[in-house]
Amino acid sequence: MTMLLPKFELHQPTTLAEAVKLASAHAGDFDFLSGGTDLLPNYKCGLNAHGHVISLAHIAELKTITRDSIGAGVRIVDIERNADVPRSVAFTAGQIASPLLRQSGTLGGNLMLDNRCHFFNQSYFWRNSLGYCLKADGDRCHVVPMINEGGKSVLNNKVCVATHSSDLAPMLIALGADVTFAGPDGSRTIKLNDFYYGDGIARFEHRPGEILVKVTLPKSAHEVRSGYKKLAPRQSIDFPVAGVGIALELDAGKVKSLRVAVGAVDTTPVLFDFSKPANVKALSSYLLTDPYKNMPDVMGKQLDNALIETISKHIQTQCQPKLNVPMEPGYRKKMCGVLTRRLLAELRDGKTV
Amino acid sequence: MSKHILRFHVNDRAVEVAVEPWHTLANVLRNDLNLTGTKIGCDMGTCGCCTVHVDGKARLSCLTLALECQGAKIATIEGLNEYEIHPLQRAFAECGGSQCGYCTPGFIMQSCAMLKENPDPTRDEIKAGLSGNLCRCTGFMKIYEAVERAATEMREKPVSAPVKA
Repeated sequence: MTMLLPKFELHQPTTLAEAVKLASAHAGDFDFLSGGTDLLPNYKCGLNAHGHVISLAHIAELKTITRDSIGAGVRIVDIERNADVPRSVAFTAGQIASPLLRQSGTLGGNLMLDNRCHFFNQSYFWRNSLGYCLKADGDRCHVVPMINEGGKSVLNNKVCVATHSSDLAPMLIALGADVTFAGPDGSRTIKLNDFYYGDGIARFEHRPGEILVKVTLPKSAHEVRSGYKKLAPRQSIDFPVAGVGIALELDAGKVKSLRVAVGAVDTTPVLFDFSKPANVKALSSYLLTDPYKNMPDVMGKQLDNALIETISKHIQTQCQPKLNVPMEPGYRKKMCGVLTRRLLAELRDGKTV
Repeated sequence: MSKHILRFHVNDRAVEVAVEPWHTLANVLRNDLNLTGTKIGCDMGTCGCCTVHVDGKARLSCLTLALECQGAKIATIEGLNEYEIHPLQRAFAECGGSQCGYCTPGFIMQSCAMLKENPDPTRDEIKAGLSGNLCRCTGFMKIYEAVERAATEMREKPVSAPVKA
């Protein structure tokens, strides 16, 4: 079945400066295209298509990969096969979609993936029959139709709960990666975790016309015990319906630092940083996961099975998957705990991927 | 918005064609160049039917904009081997790896790219390599057998005319 792409103008800049200039010139009516594995299917369904597409595939500055930094234009297959990046990152890259999609998809595209929902990722005809949804063309959410506002139950026309389904994002967040952007006002670097913010429509703290240039890994990323576990209906092709990335440091069996990032259960990846639960951004909505509510104190304690159980229980309790991607939310919620428990035990016992 | 000239090589022939910016490589190969061996299945990147080689790498032509292939070397199932049947094609036919045949061009192009990188894959490596291609007829076992047989044959007697592009 051929699905026609909507009409657009394609721009193919060869330098970053040129791309930034094009983005400013077409502000509000463009999308960046890198691998095309996420954007083009969405365009084919008529989801928020724009009149201009700026291709980032010919910009050499985005394609460098070293031990400590990965360019946003690096193809996922090249991360998977790179011997210099941390093993856990290469392993996670190998878990994404299928070999063919990894050949096209890029790191930047995976991190900036559009959020997914049963009511969003559908054909125009399908969505038309239901009166569209909050994220595209419509004015109400079908997943959470009513919300509590000032003690009253009102129609939800504010909060989109579409799921962020990236595999690399939780792993890189757990490792404490930074992201660098180039924009009209110069470049800026922020923590990857701070970049994800808000509901399924806002998704990022992204300034207009900015381009993701690279992801920088801290030196510790090569030293900590880290790993990723993914839950998906099939082993290949599918998006995760739950994914747990962990970075763990042990000092004689005692927890020195522990960062658990859970993906595909909320509108952004959720970081459970057991090392420093203070100084956290206020959440945009009570519908979203609050990782620091009743967080157990695990620092300096022996990582035995009982402590692993406490940690995984906390993560299971706090994750709030919604019924908007395959598999039941209850099962996914439970599996967040199970994946955390299995992965923590593996990391403690020194099993590597 | 207007058509742009796309100059590239398809199956070792220089081609010049005017395409719209929103046309995918699969559209151009099938509609403009009449190379209908490349099939369009899901058109969303999940079935692998539309696999072709772009500069020697297996790529999904339904998720590749035609203009992004400016100057590239494309190989489709038609250009796999011009003068005699390719060992992969023969093995798929002999092992029953092709039934309705719709997914076969995708499977063969992906297998071909896989065997170029790894001429002696294990059954698990074949399964992993072909995990992005879907077949609804054969149940996959015959396809894995076909790829194993073709790999053996290609190791013993390399293909006379090398795979194009």
